[in-house]
Amino acid sequence: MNIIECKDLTKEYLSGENIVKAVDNVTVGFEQGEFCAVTGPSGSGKSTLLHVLSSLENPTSGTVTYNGEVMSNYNDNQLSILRRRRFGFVFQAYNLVQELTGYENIVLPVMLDRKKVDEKYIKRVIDMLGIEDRLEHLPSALSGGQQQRIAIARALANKPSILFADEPTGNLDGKSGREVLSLLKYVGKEFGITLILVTHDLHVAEQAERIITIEDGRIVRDSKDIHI
Amino acid sequence: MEKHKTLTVNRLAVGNLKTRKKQYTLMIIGILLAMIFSSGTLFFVSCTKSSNDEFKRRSIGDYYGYFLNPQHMDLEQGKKDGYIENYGYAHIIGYAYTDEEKQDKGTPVAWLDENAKQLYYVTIKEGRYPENKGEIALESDAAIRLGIEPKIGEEITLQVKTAAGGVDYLPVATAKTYTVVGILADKRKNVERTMGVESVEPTPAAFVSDKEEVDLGGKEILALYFKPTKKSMKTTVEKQYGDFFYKETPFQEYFLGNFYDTYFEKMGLHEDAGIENFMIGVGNWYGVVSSDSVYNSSFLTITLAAVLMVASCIGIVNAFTTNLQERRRQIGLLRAVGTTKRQIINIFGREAFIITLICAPISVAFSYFGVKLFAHIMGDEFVFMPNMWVLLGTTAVSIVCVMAAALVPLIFAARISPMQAIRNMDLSRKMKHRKIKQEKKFNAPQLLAKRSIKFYKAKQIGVSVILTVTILLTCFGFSILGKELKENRWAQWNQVDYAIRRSGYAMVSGYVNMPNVEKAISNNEIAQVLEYPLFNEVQGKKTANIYLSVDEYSEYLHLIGYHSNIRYSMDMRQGINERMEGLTGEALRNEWYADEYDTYKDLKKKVGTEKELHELEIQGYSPQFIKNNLSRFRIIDGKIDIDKLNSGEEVILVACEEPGFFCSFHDDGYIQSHTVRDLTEPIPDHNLDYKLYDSAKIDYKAGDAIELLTLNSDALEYNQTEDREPIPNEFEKHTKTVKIGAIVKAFNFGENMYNNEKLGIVTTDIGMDLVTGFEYGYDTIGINIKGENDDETDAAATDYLTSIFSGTYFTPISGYATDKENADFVRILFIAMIAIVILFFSICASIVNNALTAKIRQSKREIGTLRAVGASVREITQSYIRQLLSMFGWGCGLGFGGYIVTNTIVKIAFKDMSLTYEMLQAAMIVSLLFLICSINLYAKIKKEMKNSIVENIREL
Repeated sequence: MNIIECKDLTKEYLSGENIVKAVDNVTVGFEQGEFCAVTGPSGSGKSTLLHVLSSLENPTSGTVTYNGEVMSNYNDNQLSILRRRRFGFVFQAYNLVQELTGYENIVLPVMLDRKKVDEKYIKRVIDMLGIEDRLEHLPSALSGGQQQRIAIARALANKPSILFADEPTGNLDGKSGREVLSLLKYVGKEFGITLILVTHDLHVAEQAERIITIEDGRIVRDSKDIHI
Repeated sequence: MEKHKTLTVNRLAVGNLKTRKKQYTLMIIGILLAMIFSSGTLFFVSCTKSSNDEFKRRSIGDYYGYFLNPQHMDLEQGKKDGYIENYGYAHIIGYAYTDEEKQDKGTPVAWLDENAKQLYYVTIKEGRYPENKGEIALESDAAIRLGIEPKIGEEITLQVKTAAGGVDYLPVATAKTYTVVGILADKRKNVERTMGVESVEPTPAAFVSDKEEVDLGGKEILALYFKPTKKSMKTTVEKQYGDFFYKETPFQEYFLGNFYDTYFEKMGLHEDAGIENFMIGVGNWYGVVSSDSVYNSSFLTITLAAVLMVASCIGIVNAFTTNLQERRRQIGLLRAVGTTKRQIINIFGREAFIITLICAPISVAFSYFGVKLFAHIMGDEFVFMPNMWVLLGTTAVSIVCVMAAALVPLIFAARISPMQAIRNMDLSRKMKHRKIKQEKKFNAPQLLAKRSIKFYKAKQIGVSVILTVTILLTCFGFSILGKELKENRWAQWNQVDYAIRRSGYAMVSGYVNMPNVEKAISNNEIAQVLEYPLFNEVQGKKTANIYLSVDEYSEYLHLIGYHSNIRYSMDMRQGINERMEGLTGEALRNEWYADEYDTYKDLKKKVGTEKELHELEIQGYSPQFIKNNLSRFRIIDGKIDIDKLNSGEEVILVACEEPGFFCSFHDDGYIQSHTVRDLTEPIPDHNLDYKLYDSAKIDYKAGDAIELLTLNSDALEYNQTEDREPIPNEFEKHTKTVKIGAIVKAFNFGENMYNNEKLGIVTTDIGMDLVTGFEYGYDTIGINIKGENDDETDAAATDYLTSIFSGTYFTPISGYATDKENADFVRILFIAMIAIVILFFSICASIVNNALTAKIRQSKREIGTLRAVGASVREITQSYIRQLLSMFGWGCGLGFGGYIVTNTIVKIAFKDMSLTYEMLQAAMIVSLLFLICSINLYAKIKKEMKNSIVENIREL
């Protein structure tokens, strides 16, 4: 059963006076624990698909279903709760809160949820990501790789079901990129998280179990279908 | 093909203005408001000044002084040499009156040459100035004094004594008929109030045309009016008199140099007055009428002007800062492509200049008409007549203010490096250098707010400071306003509707009372007052000198006497010190200033007594007045029995219970001043540096008999020397032994009543006549009217009282008019207060709004991130509301705290000020401000939330 899926999903943008279809009638589903890479050329709509799936943006038409529930029925507050409890996000630009330290950034979703921090789990994540000594620093004092690790830790803090990663290695050099990718793969497996990763880099995409290729907002290739 | 235009700084500046219309519209509105305030303030200052000048001109004329019969004075050379601005002649042809018995209510009749008309500042209330023979124009007050109610075009007949040169008139009057062609604003009345009855004698209040001539056998009296140039009135000329250096004006130098020898002769009136006295007497007249609302508001206006100008500049700085902050990226890009700092300042400075040029005429027009409207609303007292220089000056000052205010943020903006501007690196840099305490568990909105406050401290401090200032201004404004409202009420003697007081001179000045010279209000005049149907009752107070006759000077009397015995030696500081040195107890008490002691011995000799005489003042009040004020008497001993006072059997002794003699000293050790104070009374703080020299206790008690000696002279005029009227050779003596009915402490009944007196006698007016053996007149009377007063009644009552008391030393004061004047003053204060509060309120709201809007705009990405990781609208709003709360918390804490502390200090230090704590208005304003800012904040966040999270994140 798919943990998250979308049906006839369309997302349109207004660019000047023209309407641009970033995602065009896409139907796709993702299973629990699956590592899927969404790839395609620049402007193909891969990031938009990820944003709509993760509720960062509303679809123009079509539905997104999480665990059998249609997300468009959720109000803003319910969506916020869903994001903080069930989803994790890793962005290309890391998007850490500049005024908070590494550790505070990591536990931010837990704190927003007013829950107690699972210290053991967080420590395990931190150890796994190798960022123990960067926790007290503000993001401005960290390198790109270190910031991205903090972002991954933050994404994992609430033990999410799905981790959405938008070009997570895009701002990193080759070595850091590779490290981040293997970490994502590892934590996904370790915690049984569905990992949906958007990349235009085929080498990165190749690491995934499933590769979806998008062009002009449509899925032109899904490796899952090929295997079938 | 499109023609490529050359890219110039002007084109860039105009381009910026065109592409950012919305932002600029908002900024222009802000700047426009600030400019309206600043130029309005300047106009208001100008209005106050012109009102002051105009008021003075209308009241006494535009001249500085006048001289009688100055046939030998040629001021033309002085005019050529730049000492004299203008001079002109009044040709007095006669003295007019209506009633033989009321000749003193008359007025000189004169014609003025063109220059004199300007200098006299003839102000026509109705009709016109006489142009033909047989026409006359009268000042309103002169008509009242003459007992006529002239209408324009009406014929009046006056008894006119022909001028006879000098200051004299021919003894016989002839009836002359004139046609009234004009009613003029009063001058003579005001000159009389300022300079006294004698000085005003040659001042005309009836004017005829230059076609009138002096009757046969007469000779016109010439009065030369003059006005020195402004330049010649600056004290720039250094002079030396022996070892003493002083400065005088070029005018004084010119005048004394040319006319000193003939000055006293030509003056005719002021034989004993030095030139300075006369000149300054007229020149400073305005300062004498300090209760006038225009005068009060001028001081206030200039203070407020400074505050408003600064506030306006803060507003402009804020508008530009916000604008530039939003455009850091543009500045960075311009810097990256090689634009120099100077060019940046140039581009953005020109933008500011273009905006200023747009705003300047609009704001000047707005404020011009605003102040014009204000002056119109405030009535005749306010005159707004800005000349071209004021207009240009105001425009220039407004432009300079805006440009200076714009330059401050511009210089800071131009300083940043290109990358800093493009990537907003300064925050990262700031963060790198900040040590922060990491939190393990936290409330996310709270922590975010806390960190924001930490990293954006400058902005928070700015907001808190301006809030503090707003609160302080509002609190103090209302405190002072409350005080003004409370105190600016008619505090005339015993709350009477009208008071007639002697102005200018003390009632009692000689060792011996001289009732023929020191004329008081007679019973006849009081009877005339009571004839007026609207007047209900008259209460009065009379004063005379009296001596307490004792066998020997007691310790108590010695001590009470210290102050007066050495009072004339203030200018003999060294003498006092030498005499005081080592003197204590009896030796000190016997110490008299030599001249005073000689006079004292002379007095005893002339009185023919071996007894010691202690000089006192006796005051007699209407019995009703004492009855009304019984509860206010602080009785030490005995009781007040009005009947016994009336019978002259008893008196009330106003006494100092335990007098202490204090001296204060100059740094060089010489005595600066000395005073006697009651040690049983709290000593005001400002007297703490006084050293107590000696003290005694009262040795009188109720029931004691005291011998009182009254001395009266029937002399008809003073033989005054420099200090005090000498003891005449002949005078009447009246001795009376009375009982002390009650001993009371000195207190203030109101104006002209006992205050700070060490020892005196109070009784009823009837009792005083019996005790002194003489029926003195009243020096103050209070009149109450039947029912409520109104404009019409007040005008009629004042006219009536003026007709009785004009030409005397007594001036009627209307409580109703004073109340109105004070209400005007409070109204001005209130308007100014509200203007300041609104201005600061707007600045505050705009700064808070700008700070938070800028913060929200800068934090778009952060908002997006927070939303992405699950923060709801409520939590994000909470974080900003907490920041707002922090700003307000600091502002309120400092503002209200500062106010409480300062107000408490002021209250303790200046007990007389009696300031109240007024925080409600400020609290309401702050609450309203917080509400507006919160709503605005919520709306802004909601607006951001309408964007998708991705739009927020992608913003940068």
